Amino acid sequence: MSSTGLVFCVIVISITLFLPQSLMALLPPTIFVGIFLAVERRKETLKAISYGFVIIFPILLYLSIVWILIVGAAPGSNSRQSAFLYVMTLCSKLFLFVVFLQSTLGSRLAIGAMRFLSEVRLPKGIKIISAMTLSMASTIRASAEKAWISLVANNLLSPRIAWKNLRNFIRFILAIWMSIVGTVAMRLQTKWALEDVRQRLGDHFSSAHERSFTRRDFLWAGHALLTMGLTIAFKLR
Amino acid sequence: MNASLRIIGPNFSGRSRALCDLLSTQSRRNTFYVGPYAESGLSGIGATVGEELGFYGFDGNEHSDIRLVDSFAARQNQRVATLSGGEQTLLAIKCYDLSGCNILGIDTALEQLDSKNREGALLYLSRLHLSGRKYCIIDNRQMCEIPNGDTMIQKVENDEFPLTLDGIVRTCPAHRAPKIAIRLLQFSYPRSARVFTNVSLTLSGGRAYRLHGPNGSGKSTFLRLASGVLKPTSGILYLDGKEYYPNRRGNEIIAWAMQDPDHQWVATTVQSDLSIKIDALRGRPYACLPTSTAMGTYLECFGITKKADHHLLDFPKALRKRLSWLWPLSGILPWIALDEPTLGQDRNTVLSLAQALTQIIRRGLGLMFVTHNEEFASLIPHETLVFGDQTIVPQEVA
Repeated sequence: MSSTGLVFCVIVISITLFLPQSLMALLPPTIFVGIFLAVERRKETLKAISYGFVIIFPILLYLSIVWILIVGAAPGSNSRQSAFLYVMTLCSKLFLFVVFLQSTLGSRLAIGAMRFLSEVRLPKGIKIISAMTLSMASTIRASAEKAWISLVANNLLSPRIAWKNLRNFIRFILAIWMSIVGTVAMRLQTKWALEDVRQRLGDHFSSAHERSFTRRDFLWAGHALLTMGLTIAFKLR
Repeated sequence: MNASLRIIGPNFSGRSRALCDLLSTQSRRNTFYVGPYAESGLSGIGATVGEELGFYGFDGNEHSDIRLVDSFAARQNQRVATLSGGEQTLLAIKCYDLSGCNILGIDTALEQLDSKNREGALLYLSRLHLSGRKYCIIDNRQMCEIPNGDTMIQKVENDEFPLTLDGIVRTCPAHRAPKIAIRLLQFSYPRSARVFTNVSLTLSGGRAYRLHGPNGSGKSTFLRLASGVLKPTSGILYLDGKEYYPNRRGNEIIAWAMQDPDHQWVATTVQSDLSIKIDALRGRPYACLPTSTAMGTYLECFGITKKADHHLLDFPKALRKRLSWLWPLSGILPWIALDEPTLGQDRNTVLSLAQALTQIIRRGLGLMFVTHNEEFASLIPHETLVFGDQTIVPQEVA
């Protein structure tokens, strides 16, 4: 699939996933995501699913405690069963969203965000903002790695599972924040300001070769739109 | 401006500001800036070497005039963040070469390069005028005369942050650093080439060791292994003859000042940063906790007595670099590790640090340091550990 086709499918499926209000209505997007993973991302399916579990499980735990155990009812109703369905629907949507995002954009961006953005057919302004935002992502990652090194070297964290990791988690976040602010402030004040990085990005994207829809893209885009239609039909029923 | 301009002056004299002001008067599309640390050396737009090069116009073919040691052509998929400081500077110069910009501004970045790469970079700069390009540089090291070059001298009226390390040396406790023995150490990063193969060596307290080798030869990796951040693939560390597993039990002996100071803070002020690090060591056998009055002395040494509660990021970067030495120089842990401690520091500061370290070593503490500053290294009596080809080889006493 081309980058442009991928972005189109992500947008359509992301909107679709937030339409359903019941588990039944989630069926069409679930089938779409399942087929997409099986056909397009065979080898990465397991990785995407496990990624989804890692992200969603703590949220599921938290929402279950709050809505099922403490509140004991879903918004607008007063039974524990409705709270259970509410939490399950919400987490299923989030799970599918994370899995789909990871298996589509996640894997492409990991290979090269700039290459991906150069290929995709989007307004230049959006591409520039995306490139700048994604540069923040790699800064955060680098800062987290450095902060981890610092805190382990100073006995505040352990590379193994330990209570002190939980106890000093907030220090870890603070260390990452200090590193990010130091890096970003320096970069914005000097490198980016002196070189006009935004303009350079604009030039870079102007000269890049954008790839338009392929036949395969049209096929998946059609399926994505069909999925959206079916979900809306489920919702209206 | 002539073909080149060198800005000279002590720390806090406004050298960096002068450089930025000068560059900002030029057309921004023609300006390329290489700052003192990675965050301002590279644009950060590209996550990998290939992307960063591509952003500045690399088309996959090597046809530039630059003749630096590392061409990066074979390392396109490597993440920029995993490059050493020196490699990032080389990559930045490579990007400049590709960018087509006319003016290059370098703020102390060349200080991160090993002698071979530095020589290559300086040679490259000296030839820029042949293609009608200019450069402007701040560098604290010895540099050859630049033909056709200008010099701008920046002066400082009042030293805002006077450095007097005598106090910290006085308060530094005298304790014999334990002997570190490394036996058959092997290490490789996941899905990467091996960094060390069967390395065995012994480091004794009361001595200084210079970790020396080309950029990217594993010096920082060695410090990470010794302080428990990384787990050796195989091999054992011994501390005074007893098996030592810093990766399991935590680092008990090394106080480490990193290359970029902003990567090592665990709090927002100097005082709280030090207090937290001290608290984490309570009950550890090799830690020698400071007296209650020591903090006042530390602050005085770095000239920040009246600014003790200032946010660390409010201080200039050169001062933050100095403050990063506080933790190791306090002598709370018996081994001191300094990764490029003199980056961005003027000559007087370098001399003060070398003098303080020499005195601290005499008290029995051990020192491991990474530096490409030959003058600084020559001021500290040391043994050299040569890194390269997956080994560490001790050399004769300097």
